[in-house]
Amino acid sequence: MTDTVRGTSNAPPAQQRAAAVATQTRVQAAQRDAQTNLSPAPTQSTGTLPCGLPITVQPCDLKNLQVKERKTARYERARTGGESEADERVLPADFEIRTGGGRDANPYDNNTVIEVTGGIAADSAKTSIELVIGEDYQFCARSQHPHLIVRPEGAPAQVMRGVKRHTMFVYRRPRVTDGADARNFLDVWPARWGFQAYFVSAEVCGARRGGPAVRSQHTTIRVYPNEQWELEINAPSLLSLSGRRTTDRRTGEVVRSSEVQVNLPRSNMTDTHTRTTNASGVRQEQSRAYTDNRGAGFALDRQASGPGALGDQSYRNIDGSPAGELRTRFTAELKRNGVAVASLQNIVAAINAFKDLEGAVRSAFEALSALSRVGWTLDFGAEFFTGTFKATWGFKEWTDRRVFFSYTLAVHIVLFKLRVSLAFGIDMTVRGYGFVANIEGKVEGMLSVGAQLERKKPQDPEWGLARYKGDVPATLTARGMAIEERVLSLRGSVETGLEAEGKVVVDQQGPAVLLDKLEFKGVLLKGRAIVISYFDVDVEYRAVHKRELVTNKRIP
Amino acid sequence: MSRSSVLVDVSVEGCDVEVYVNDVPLFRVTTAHESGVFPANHLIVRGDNVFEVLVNPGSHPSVARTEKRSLPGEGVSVRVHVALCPPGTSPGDAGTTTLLRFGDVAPDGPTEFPRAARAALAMEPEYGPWAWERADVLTLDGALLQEATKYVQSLHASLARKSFPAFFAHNEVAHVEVASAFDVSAAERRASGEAALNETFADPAFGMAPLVAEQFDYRLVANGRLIDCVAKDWDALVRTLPDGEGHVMRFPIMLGRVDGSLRGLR
Repeated sequence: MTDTVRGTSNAPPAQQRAAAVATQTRVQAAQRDAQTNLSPAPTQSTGTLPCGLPITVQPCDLKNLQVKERKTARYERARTGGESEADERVLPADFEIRTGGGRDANPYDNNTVIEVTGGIAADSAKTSIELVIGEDYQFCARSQHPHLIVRPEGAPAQVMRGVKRHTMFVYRRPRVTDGADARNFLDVWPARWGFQAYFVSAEVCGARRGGPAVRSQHTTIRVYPNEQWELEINAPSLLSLSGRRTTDRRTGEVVRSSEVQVNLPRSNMTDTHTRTTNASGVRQEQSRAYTDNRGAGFALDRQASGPGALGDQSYRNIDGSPAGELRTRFTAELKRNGVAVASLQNIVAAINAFKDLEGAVRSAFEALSALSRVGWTLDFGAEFFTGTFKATWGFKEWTDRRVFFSYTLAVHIVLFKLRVSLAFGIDMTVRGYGFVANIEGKVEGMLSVGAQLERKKPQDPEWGLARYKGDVPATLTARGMAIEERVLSLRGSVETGLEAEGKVVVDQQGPAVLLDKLEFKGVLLKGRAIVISYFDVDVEYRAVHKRELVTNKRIP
Repeated sequence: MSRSSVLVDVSVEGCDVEVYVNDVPLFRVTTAHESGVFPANHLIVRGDNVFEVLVNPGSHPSVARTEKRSLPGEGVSVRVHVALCPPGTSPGDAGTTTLLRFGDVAPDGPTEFPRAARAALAMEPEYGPWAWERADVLTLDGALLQEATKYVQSLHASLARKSFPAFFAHNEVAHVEVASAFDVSAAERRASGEAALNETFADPAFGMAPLVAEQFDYRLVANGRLIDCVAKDWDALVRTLPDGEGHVMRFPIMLGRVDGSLRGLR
């Protein structure tokens, strides 16, 4: 090596060179470490604080932000059932917001959302939040610090200077229908109402003697609706029917009688209607009874003597005796925080739509009469929607900072109970020959739905679903009739009946029983047509086609 | 107006039965069918008529009476109702006349089958006598089997070539006598039969199922005066292939020797 200025020099020994390199490396590493770990906001001794004040000597920094939830005594009393569940939040509850805290455990990290439930301003039961800024150093002497900033979502911020402690009521997001009748199920289903947010910040200089400064803490308080709802429907029967139709095989005269009892949820009135009609369509007798749930009301009797004739009609009071037997067949009760809500009808009106089912089921069986040219009878008895449907729902405060939508649903409902006795004849042509089959028997059974769904903790699935399936099998027998030298040889049992499937759900639209499909299996005859001495041939005759009677019905 | 018919109404529980009138098999009722009604005018004779049900007959027709089996008797029963029924009615309906009621209830426990229940009734029908009543008593030997088989093959061939006249000629005696038994015009009956078969022949899927010798299961009936040319599965030997819907048409054959030659008599 040549040093042009100092002339030739000797290179240092290899051991010394290695030591020098090691020392230099250690120093560089220490510098990097020092820069990396340097406080972003070291205590300053000159210049101005972030808030613009000149630095004197006073450090100014905070320790934490405490959120204290309280509820009024009235609130506690208004809770559904009056009993707190074991896993609910114990009130009053304190939440500490502190940098470096946990996400789901007290103390909570900066910016953690705190969830509570609350009502509207008009409610006497209220939720209050107390905000307390914990100081690590005495705040600025000029009383400008701390700054406590509260900004309700959708409203201007309130900046409170020099305030360490502040108490406020918090409310859920208001709705147009607050204080008015519920117009649809959404009005009683807070799962879709959303929450009201309050953005809270505590800010100070963030000046301290060494170590990282905190400077500010933030949290968002979300207020979910506090309403606890309860819906209970007890339905001895929404609708019951019985009827009989016969034709005389020889004269073709149709004799029909029917009795329909329809429960009307709107006014608890019951409509009883009996009628007899003969083949020529002459309405011979008709009576209707209208009663309220106290058995008071009137009856209309009508006698008619010819087609289209109004006939004589008369009214009579039925206080007491005959109409007293007509029970109030349907009760539905909706409660908000344990208090009955009057505006129920709009909600249960949806249940009324279930009456459509009756027409569908009945028409399926009456369709058989169109096939019959031999004479037929139909005894039809059915009851629809009996049982109980009980649901509770509302937001609840979990033991930690969270609120979750809780619900229970217990359904024990017979969607329908059916009793059909029928006998009818079918004539068919096979290879040009006429044949006759007689079908008779019963379709008897019920379709019931039993399910329990609940969500009692945030970890449970958000929505619940339980599927059901059912069928009403038939025991129809088929017999071929002999006509001269030909006869039908039929298998004894005929495949028919009703099949249904659906689910019980609690979803975004509310608690419900869904009838996905109700299907009439149709009537299929199998056997042989025999022409004596000529031939016999297989017969497979679908007297009534399979058809869907109801699809995608939701109750309520 | 057609005359009243003698209808045999059979209801079964827990068994299969074969119904005979004057030893001629009339129809079969299985547990799947539960019941059946069948007209019997064409088998009714002047004088005593024997109505019989064979409960749980043997496994195939030729051993219906002879193949003994021990089966549980619990729940096995058969009821027979024979009635004279105006057109459009069935035994038990208003306007019908009950001629006979009989039946059988098997004892509980292992029971030997087949069991037979029968009842006799003297009648004076306004139709008949039938050709089969005066047919020769047959012996089921090789010669008869050969002769009957030729007859079966001939009937099968007439259908295979879609010839209604040839088919009709084979069983003409039976066709005419059945028309008489039920007070139906023979000409109209022939026309109806021709129309039915021509409809069948016109089906593109029409074809005759081949005759399978192993399925032949001849048996003597009508007290030896008729040979029932039946298959081991109790159906007719001559049958079509399944049509587009899987349906099969079958052609029963019961032969008797009249005036020295075999003819289709039922």
